[in-house]
Amino acid sequence: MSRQDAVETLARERGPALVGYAYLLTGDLATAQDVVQDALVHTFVRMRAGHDAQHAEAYVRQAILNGVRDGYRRRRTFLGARARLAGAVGPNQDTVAVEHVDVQRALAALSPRERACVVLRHFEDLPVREVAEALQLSEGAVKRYLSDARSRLGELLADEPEETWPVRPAGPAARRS
Amino acid sequence: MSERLRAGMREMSQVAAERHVDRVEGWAAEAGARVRRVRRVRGAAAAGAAAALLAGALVTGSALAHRTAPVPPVRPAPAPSEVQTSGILEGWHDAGVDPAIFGEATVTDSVAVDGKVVAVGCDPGAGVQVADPGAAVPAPPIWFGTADGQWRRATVDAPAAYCLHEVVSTPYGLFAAGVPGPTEQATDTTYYRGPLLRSTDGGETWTGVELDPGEAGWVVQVPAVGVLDDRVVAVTTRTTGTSLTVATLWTTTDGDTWTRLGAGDRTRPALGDDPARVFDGAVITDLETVGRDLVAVGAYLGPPAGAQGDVDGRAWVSQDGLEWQHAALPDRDGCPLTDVAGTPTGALAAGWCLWPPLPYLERSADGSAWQRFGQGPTDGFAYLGVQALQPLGDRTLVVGAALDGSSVYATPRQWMVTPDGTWHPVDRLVAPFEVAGGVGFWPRAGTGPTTTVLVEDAR
Repeated sequence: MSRQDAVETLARERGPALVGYAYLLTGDLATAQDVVQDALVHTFVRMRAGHDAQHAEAYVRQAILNGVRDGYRRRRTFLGARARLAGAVGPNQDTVAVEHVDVQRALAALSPRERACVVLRHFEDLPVREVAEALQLSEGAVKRYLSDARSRLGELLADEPEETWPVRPAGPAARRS
Repeated sequence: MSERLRAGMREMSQVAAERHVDRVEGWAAEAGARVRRVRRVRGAAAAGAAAALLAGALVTGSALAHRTAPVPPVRPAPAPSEVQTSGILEGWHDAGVDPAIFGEATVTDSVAVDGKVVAVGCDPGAGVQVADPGAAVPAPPIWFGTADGQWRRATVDAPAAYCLHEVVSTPYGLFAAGVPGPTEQATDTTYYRGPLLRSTDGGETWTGVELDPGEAGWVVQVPAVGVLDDRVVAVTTRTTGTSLTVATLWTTTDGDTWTRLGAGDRTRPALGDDPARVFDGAVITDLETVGRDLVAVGAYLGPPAGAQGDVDGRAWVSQDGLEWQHAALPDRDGCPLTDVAGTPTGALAAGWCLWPPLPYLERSADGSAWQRFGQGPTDGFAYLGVQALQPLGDRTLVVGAALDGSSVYATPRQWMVTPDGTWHPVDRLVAPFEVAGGVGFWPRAGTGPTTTVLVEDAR
């Protein structure tokens, strides 16, 4: 199978799932599609023919994460402004209408890193250590993001977080207590 | 909340996937076409990037330039690190050398000789293709000094060389090699005559060595120099203007008269007139004496010269510096070697694979047979430069750079490899990366503006 055939096959057979995954991370269908296609190109351009093709999806998923992280870094200001405008402009053709609209809104309220941590931990079911590796964060940072995210989600979803993580106290006062 | 959250995310993902299917037609084919287009443009990029690194990537505008790729620039300023920082510099102290002596240059190699240490390096202008007309041409960066902190820049009477990456001590003095910089006459056809420098006074003064006076073509760079008993060998990249030989082997047994193996060597007709046959057309990145033999490492770029993008690691071993045999290197596919260093138990060679693009080490007791040593980083994207290895006692410092996708810049990265083969990330700011004669230099290129000289506490 040529490289081009391989990427087309992966895009055709796994593309929707990958876009769904990227959508959870980005909250925007068009952005998710762009991120996935960029990740496919990024991965297959660098991949040697016939080498590790069976693991291509794993590489693409990591590239999606990298792309989301990079994109958010560059477009954070734009996204922040757009998020504030979202309620005013109403649904557009890119809107993904779901029954769990409360979850959709709650996720939209999270910071990009919080959102990524939540998706990897609760959608991908990755342990904290692997979440940290995937996002190139320390485990402590991931626990803090998850803790903050759960607090926020708990408020927005009118529920209490079920799982808590011990977070190292910050500052001398906290250490003394 | 968790179950509700999971259910919500599952639905969101599924609906988004369905919307994607509804809205796109030919999306998969477009992805494939994009891959094809990018690969067409960057087809030789992977091989070129390796070639650039392998051949001493700082040469630009040389005859290699047409197949070098844009190796990611290393981020110029250090960033906070979360990796281990303790213990690396235990046993070292600052020698108190004035940083101005090194300026903004970076030390790349050093050698101890007669109670002194001689260091070579790169000026920050390395890689500059064309000199400004009339601009002052800096002298090649060479320094010499002692553990008590007395350091000076050497006097060099030779065409400018911006980046030297190897210095060796031989029975005929010191030889330093690297990649050239601009001369005063940018239109001169000898503009990129490569630097091989020699010092016969312990590194205080240096003169250029002209390898092939009177012959057509010229040496564009000298990737490696090695010594075995009374024989000194140098590997060069050479061009005649219309053709390029990436690994031409030269040898001398008196320090004055150099002979090019292959063409012109009537005593070895089997080599014919193609000097590249010595190393099968491969790029040589480093030479090192290992026990009683000389070891060369590098990469085969694939026919023709990396056009297929295949870059495989190669190693050779020689008992006399003239006849070279392939070393057994099982894990070579797609994994060029960039550096080799002697260790108390033999030798280590460092390289990085094109896919996954991660660094690795090979270990050998005698240079003739190699085995993968330890498990390097398993994720991220990282590559190793030409100077990648620094044995420190029973540990080995591996210097590389990494891309995390968040920037066009590569980030300097260092690992300490312990005798059990475990790679430990270490803070790039606290590890001496070049050590000779109890003197260490840090930080590594791209990690700081100045070089600090360190001395082992026992000295």
